[in-house]
Amino acid sequence: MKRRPSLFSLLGVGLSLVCAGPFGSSRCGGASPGTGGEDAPPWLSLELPALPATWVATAVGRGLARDFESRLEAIHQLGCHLAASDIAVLYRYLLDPAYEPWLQPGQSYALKNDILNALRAQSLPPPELTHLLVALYRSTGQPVVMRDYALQHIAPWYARAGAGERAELVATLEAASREHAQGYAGTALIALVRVQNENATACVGSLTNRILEILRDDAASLCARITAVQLCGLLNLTNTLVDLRGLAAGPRRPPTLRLAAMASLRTVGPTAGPPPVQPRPGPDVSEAIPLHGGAEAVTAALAAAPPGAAISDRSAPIQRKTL
Amino acid sequence: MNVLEGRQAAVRAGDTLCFVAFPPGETGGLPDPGMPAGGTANIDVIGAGHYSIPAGGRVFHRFDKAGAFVVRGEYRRPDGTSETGSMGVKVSELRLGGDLAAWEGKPRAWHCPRLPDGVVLEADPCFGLDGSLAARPGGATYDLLVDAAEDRFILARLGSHGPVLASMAVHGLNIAGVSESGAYYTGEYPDGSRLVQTAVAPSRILNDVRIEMQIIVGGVMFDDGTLVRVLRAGDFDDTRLARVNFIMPPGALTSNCHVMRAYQDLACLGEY
Repeated sequence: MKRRPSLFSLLGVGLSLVCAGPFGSSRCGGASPGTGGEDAPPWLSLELPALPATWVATAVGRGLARDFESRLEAIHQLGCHLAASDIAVLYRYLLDPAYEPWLQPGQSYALKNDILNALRAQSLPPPELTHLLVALYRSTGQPVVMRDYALQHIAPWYARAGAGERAELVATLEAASREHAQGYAGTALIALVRVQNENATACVGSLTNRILEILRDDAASLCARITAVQLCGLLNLTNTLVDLRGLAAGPRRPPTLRLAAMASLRTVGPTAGPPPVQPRPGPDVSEAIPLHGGAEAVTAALAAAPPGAAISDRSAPIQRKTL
Repeated sequence: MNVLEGRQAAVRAGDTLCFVAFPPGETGGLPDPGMPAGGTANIDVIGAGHYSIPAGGRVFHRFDKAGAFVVRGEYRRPDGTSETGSMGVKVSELRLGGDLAAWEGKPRAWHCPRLPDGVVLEADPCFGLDGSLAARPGGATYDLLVDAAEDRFILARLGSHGPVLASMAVHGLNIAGVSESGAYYTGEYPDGSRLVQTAVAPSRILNDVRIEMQIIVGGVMFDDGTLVRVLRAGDFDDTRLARVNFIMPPGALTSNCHVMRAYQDLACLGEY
């Protein structure tokens, strides 16, 4: 039965991705402030009208209020019936990697993330959104965070994208997953799993092989490798038992990688459990982790930072409201 | 109800009807103390009970099961003459289902069971249901939408303004996540990884609702090393708040990106 459109969905409520929070870096690679960013791609050919004093103008920082909260509120007011000209304005802003010095680090990413949410929530799928996401990922002039966000948005966008565009979306994720040196290779793996799980007809290639390639690549980025390890557990890839044991036991492995491996071992090898490796004293924090206590013990060890190690300058909320 | 008048009745399972058997017009339709003495009335709820009573008496019969029943009545006068008649009783039973949960502003699917003929659904006016549902008697899946984090109700009536056949509460709730609670660095470990804490706060705790959080960014993990965290009723403190810790490994540039979905059994209540 055809679902009835609901009032609230028409109002654009129900955004999906949540990317608010702390950012480890304030780097916004690419263009310097005020350059306007890269040339627009050929598919973005709409002439921009003069910006009206609307939510859209505020959203992209060209309204009267330019502070983060006002812009965030404006984005949440965009609704789901944006005009083509408004969508073009948003596309331009999303593709512009220029640093916005009046925002705190990471805030422009949060705004762009919520704009992508608003675009995906349009009642009529915005034309060219697929190309925009692909372009954001492919553009080396974009900050890595935005390239990562583009990959994150591909998974929920897949179901609404045109049938002819879906192969391109999967190909983009697969390409990203092959960039083992980048943390977003892990993001791409997660997105591929989501596409496969949430779309019965999705044609995702040999996903297991992609996971194994990163899992077994010692040169892969830590973030990507952690994700590969986590997915072994999530997907119960029993043929990775030996790999996971090796990663969990390796005393010189990064603690976070070992923690992820131990967590996955609880699924992949529930009867085996973590191997009882005795910790050895040494300066490497990973060596101080009592593996025989299980992942919880590793967590506790990670939390046992020496006095003064806590980052007091980062203990404040990064953005958004407090409770 | 006078069985000899041949009417049709529709009642709910568990309802009790009062029957008499008396020729219409002879007493104005109601048992009359002045009626001829010595007569008898036989009332037969076919398949469910037989009653023989003095004329003018009443029979109270409870219909425990749903179905279509025929009630036959006979009025026998003292002189031996008699009159007979019958009526139909349709007994309906309906269970709309257990109470539901719904996330404010997010439609959730609800499978409405097949409705007996003549049954009309009603819902709170500020609820995302309307009378048009009654036109779908064969059972269907609908989107339920609550407008607030409050209880809303659906009624099934035996006809417009008829008795309530079944009811169902829809418990509206809201769930605040990272956008409302914020995300905080709470520490940095010797290996360079950072602990980030955020909070999940439903407006109410429902025992059969679980909240699933899934990380969607590479490298980030919950503090047990996994990608998925499920929050159940017992995970929330007295203020209905659950603190969720993320570990951001060295090199993680993005935030603790995640999606949050609420489920009641297999039904998804919405995504955040």
